Formats: sequence, structure tokens, C-alpha cells
Amino acid sequence: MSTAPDVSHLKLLIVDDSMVMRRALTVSIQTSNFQEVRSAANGVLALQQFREFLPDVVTLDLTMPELGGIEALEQMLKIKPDTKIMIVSALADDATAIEALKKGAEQFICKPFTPEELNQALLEMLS
Amino acid sequence: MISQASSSNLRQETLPVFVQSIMHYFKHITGVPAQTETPYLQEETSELGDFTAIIGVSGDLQGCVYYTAPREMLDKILGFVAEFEPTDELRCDMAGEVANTLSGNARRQLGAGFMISVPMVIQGRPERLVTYKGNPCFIIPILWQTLRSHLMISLIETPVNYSME
Repeated sequence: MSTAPDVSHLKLLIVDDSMVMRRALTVSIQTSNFQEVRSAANGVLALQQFREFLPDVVTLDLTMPELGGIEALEQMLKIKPDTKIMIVSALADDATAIEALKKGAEQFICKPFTPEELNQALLEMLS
Repeated sequence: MISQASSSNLRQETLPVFVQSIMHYFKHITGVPAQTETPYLQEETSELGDFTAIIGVSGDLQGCVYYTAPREMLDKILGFVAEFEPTDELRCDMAGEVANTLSGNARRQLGAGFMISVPMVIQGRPERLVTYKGNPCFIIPILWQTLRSHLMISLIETPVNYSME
């Protein structure tokens, strides 16, 4: 059985244009274990938060207004290349997942998911 | 150059893709399977619930995907994502998220050429919604826990241009 990694020194940024999803992710990930958690509702706000917060871990939606997830991903990794980014998206085609992984995402989980699947994906990324 | 512009209606084979997305979504999020009733064609969409989310589609197909649901159903779904005090803002958001997820999951079979927009949500019950370019709309009734919502597919295939030297 896998042991949960210590995330108490890590900062987490949750990015999704859906308030329901942001809240569900916050609850599912057991964010209280992280040093600090912030969220953003679109790619532009996510980049603003990213620049001042410099998170270690990001969950990132792809289909968002203002600035899409792929563009946000590229810019985040230019600012802080060691950020671990997990894509959380409804886009279920292989091409999208491959593109995101090629551009530097470390994990891709497709909506809908259970809290267990989400935490397993996060665990794999952080281990 | 030979140019062929056809605007044929949606292929019947596309519907099962959305039916699969619906089944997967409800089973996964709520643990309670949904049933889809026989889809039918309608020229205007009149089966509208209290909240209707609209996803614009471009690329290989053009048009819109609508998800429309009664307030009571959205409240129950919200309960499965730990939202026990639903507000209209949360109901709008949930309707949009269902529409986004059902449409996004359809790309598993339809591919990346099935391009979707962010959802726009209408609250209230308009008498009808005009379908994309007046084309008939496939309506898939979704029965879940005695409640009924609808996924409405108003899409046409994008005209293909064939070029020959």
C-alpha cells in the first residue's frame, strides 16, 4: 500500500473555471495537509496567482475562459520549471493528453473522477 | 479545384458516443446509474429545465450541445460533490460542468477535432431554444433517481473541401 507523501512544505494552486470543481478538488485533495492552498477561476487569474504565490503543485483545467490551460501551463513552466502540474480536464481524447504531457504536465486525470482516483493520481505525481 | 460543400445532418452513429458519456458520468459521480430513454428528433427544443447549459462546438462538427435539468436534479447531483446548501450560482455552475464533462468526454471517440467552448448557462425556462441553423436536434432523455434531464445535440457536420491539383 502506498504511503501519502509529506506535502506540508508544498504550496498548491487549484485552477478551474467551475466553482463546484474548485471546491470539490479542495475537499477531495485534503488540502489541509499542504502548506498553503489558493485557487483561480481562469488562466489569466491563474498566472497572476502563480507569479506571486509560486506554487509547487498545480491542478489545471484545460477549457477555461480568458486563457486556456495549455497556454497557462507553458507560461507557468517558464516561470518555475520544477512545478508539478496535473491536468484535470473533461477532454478525454488521447491527443490532448499527449500534448499536455509533452508540454510539461506530469499527470493527466480525466473528469469525472472519484476522490480516490484523484488522490491516487496526485500520489503518483508526487512520489 | 473541386469544391464540395455538404451540410448533412449529424450521423446517427454519433449519438451512442453521448449516451456513453452520460452513463459514465452519472455512474462515476453519483454511483447511481442513469438510464437514457429513446432519443428523438425535434426541430425546436421545448423540453427545457430550470437550468440549461450550452456548449458551442466547432471543428469537425458545428453547433451546440445543451444540457438542461430541473432544479431538484441539480441539487441532488450537487450533494454528491459535497455541496449540501445549493444556491442558484452553484446550480448554474453544476449544469455547466455536466455539459462540459459530457461534451469533453465525447472527444474520446470523436477526437480532438470536436472542439468545445466553455459553457454558457441560462437560468429559467425559456419557451424554446432555436436549434443550430434550424437543423433538427437530437434529444436524449436522461432518467436518474426518478428525475429527468435532457441532453440535446444540435450539430451538423462541417462541410469538407476536397482540393485536386
